[in-house]
Amino acid sequence: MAALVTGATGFLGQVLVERLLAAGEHHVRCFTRPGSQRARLEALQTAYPRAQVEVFVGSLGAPDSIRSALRDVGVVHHLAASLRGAPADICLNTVVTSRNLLDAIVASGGQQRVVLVSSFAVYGVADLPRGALVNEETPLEARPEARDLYAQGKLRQEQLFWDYQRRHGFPLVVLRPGVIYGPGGSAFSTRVGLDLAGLFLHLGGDNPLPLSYVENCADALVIAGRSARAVGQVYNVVDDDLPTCATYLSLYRRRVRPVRSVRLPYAATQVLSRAVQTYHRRSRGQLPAIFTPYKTATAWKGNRFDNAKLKALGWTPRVATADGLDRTFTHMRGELAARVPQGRDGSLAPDRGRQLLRRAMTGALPRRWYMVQGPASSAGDAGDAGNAGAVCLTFDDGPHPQHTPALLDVLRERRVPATFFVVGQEAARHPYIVRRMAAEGHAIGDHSYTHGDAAATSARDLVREVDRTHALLAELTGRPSRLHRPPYGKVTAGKLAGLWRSGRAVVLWNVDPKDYARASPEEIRAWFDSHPLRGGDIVLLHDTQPHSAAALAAVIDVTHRRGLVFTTVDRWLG
Amino acid sequence: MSLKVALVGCGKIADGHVEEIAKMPELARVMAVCDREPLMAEQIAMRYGLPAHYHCFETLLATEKPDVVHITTPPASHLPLAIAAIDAGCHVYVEKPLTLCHADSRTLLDHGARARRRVTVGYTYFFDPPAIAMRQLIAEGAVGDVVHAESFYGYDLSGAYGSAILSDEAHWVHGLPGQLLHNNIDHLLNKTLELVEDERPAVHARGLVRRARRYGDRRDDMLDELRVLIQGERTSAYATFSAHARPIGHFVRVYGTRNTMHVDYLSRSITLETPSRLPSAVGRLLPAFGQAWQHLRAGGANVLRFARSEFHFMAGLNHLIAAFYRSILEDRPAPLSDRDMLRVSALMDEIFRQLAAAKTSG
Repeated sequence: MAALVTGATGFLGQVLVERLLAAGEHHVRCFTRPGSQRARLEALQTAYPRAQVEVFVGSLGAPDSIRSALRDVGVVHHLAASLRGAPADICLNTVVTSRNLLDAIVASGGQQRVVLVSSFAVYGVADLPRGALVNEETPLEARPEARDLYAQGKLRQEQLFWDYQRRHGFPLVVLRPGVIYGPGGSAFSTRVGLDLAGLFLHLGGDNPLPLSYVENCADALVIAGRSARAVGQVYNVVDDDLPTCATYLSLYRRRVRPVRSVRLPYAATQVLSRAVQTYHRRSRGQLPAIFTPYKTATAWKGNRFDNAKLKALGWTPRVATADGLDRTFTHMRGELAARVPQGRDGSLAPDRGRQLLRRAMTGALPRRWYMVQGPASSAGDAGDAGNAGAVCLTFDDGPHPQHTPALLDVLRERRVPATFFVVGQEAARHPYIVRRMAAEGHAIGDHSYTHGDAAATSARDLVREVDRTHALLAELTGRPSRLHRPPYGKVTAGKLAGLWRSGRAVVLWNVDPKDYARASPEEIRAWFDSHPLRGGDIVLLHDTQPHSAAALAAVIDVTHRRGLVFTTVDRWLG
Repeated sequence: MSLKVALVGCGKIADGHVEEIAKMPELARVMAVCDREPLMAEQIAMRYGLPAHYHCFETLLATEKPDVVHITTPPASHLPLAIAAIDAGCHVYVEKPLTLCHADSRTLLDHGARARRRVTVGYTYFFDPPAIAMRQLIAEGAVGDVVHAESFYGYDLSGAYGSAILSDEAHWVHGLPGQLLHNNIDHLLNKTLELVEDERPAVHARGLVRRARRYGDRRDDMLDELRVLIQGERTSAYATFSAHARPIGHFVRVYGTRNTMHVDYLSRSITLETPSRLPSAVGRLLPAFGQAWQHLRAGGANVLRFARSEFHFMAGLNHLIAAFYRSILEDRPAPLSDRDMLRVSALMDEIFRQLAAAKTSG
């Protein structure tokens, strides 16, 4: 029997498919709409060659298509829903599609177990006292018309499932996750606050943020699809050690980017909401009532959350909140860095002005000052390059206690030299890894001491950080280095002048496979297959990413087969 | 007396109708909504606290006996629903396009006339504040005689409507003879025909798919750019529908024998370009300041309207609905004449005929 996943190309859906396969599911049927991005699902098939990852293209608006998707299905995981859009679209894509699915399940005999992903949004918490505990016994929203469209859709959807279950008796499990987060997810739940044209209105304050790391949430779904005890039950899905909204925002600031924010206490938000609602009425709807006292009480009064019932089913959060936040913020920081236009990757949003400037600088400046690319033909470490030239692998953001040693193992095995741009404070934390890099013949440069926000770091501070890191590197390796890679690849005229005065070579890159945004080693390999390297390429990778090390051997082999060899940046500098 | 209104078709545009009608309780009240999909009828009734919802139109007509029916369903159903409503004694407001073709529009309007029921179509921008001001300025002679007009209507394929259409191969828009254009160019064309008065002007239309092919089905054939040249005896017009030009514009330029007028529907501003009376370089120096001053005044006037709560997003829809209801209550002519509606229908027929012919020959 197969497991059917609707919404399989969504944020949670893709992870659920992976967790189902990891849990030993033999056949996962992924219900996707025509035109959905299926690359990740296809990569999963490669990663789990013994299982069948079936991409079923259909529409939940078309009952025929659902009926054929249900054939030989044992468990249906229903994730597909509208997160935003016009009211009619939310109803069509969350509620009507659910009814179509339920009709098809009933028509097919109703033997399948159905796992519905509902939401915390279905609870009616506005009238609960501040800090009240929300668990599965908390009453559902009694005033849906006063709530936002998403909550209205999810509430009606869940009611439909219970109605059908009562009438037709199929096994149903309902999961209500809190804020699902993770790499690739959105940065801020409205529980934390709202972005108003660049100014973040921080409304959540010290309320606990009910986070559910996407993998933990997927694990809960896997259990819900299998446990006999789960049938007929509702489970809240929320992790342990929840941060407050304020802690989340401050961590995000520290790890991802600066955020201009104004913190509005709950009482002030209520006053504002009343004013907005009154204005909306008096002006006969000239501006929408985005805040109302009821919505405000629901979102920002503050609750506590409980996952005891789910834990009793055998679920534990495999990824601790601290680790989940770390992975998420690392990913987000990488995404931000990728917005800086670099080299040849058509998928990047090109900032033409910046690119032209970079090209002009590359032409005008000697490589020992500013390097984006190496010479097209040069001998690499292995001597004869067969005229195909040499390429340079560079790794930023490390050293990382697990991933960097794994990567060094691959490089040693393949006898390939690389260039590491290490973050000073990480080097200080893992000095033995830096020593190993040097001992194994790799080049080492700095990537600042803290990898702070480029815009918020002055030229003087950057030069100070760079000098500090180089002093540490010289102490650890016994060799001075000139190589510097600016955080996010961003430099200004002032920073360049400062760096050059202290003798640094600024090294950027011209090839960016965006390894931090890839879900699997296969995706990274596939990227290199479709973007073959050329002599002189400087490739940006990150040794903080687990998939880079796993993909590295294949990337090295395919590059070797093309007649290219590997070298380090300092060899190009001479 | 307040009119009893029912609404059939609970998709995206239905919200706008319900909200605007709610602002005129002295004229009308929405008593019921109807959609073939019961969940869709239920959701709108729930959100706006409407008294009743139906999934069978005949039952609604028989039970609620409305005075007016708003038809906000996909265009293929406009004609049969409107005829049924008229037969039940209702006046009918139909979302654009009125019907699928000129012959059907003729049938509908004749049916309404015979039953002495009023029929109007959702040409909302016709009643937007800048359009009303433009009409008055032209009548006062601000541009002189109209020589030529340009109408531009931009469209956002990634917006709520555009993405709903592109994400669903079965979306009804793909089944219309003119696909996306069929559902939108009323707004583009009615403005040009207001200025080109000829009964049957010469028309030359060209369409284009500018998007990359992505789906491998009929969605890839959906035209997203259109250019139409309309040539009357003394006036002409040029109409542009574009899903790719940015920013997404919405304007009319009226070239007159005295001045040229630019009517911007997005910023709700009207500016007049007048011949410079000053010689040489000075004549090129001052007009920009004149333009800036006009923009400043238009912006200032809009701020004042906003402060008086007279600057609603759907002002045109509100104006049209209110004018339609008043025409019923006070037994006056409907805000749009049959001729207004039929000429647009005929022009659309001709454009789609030419586009189809170009596709066959191309």
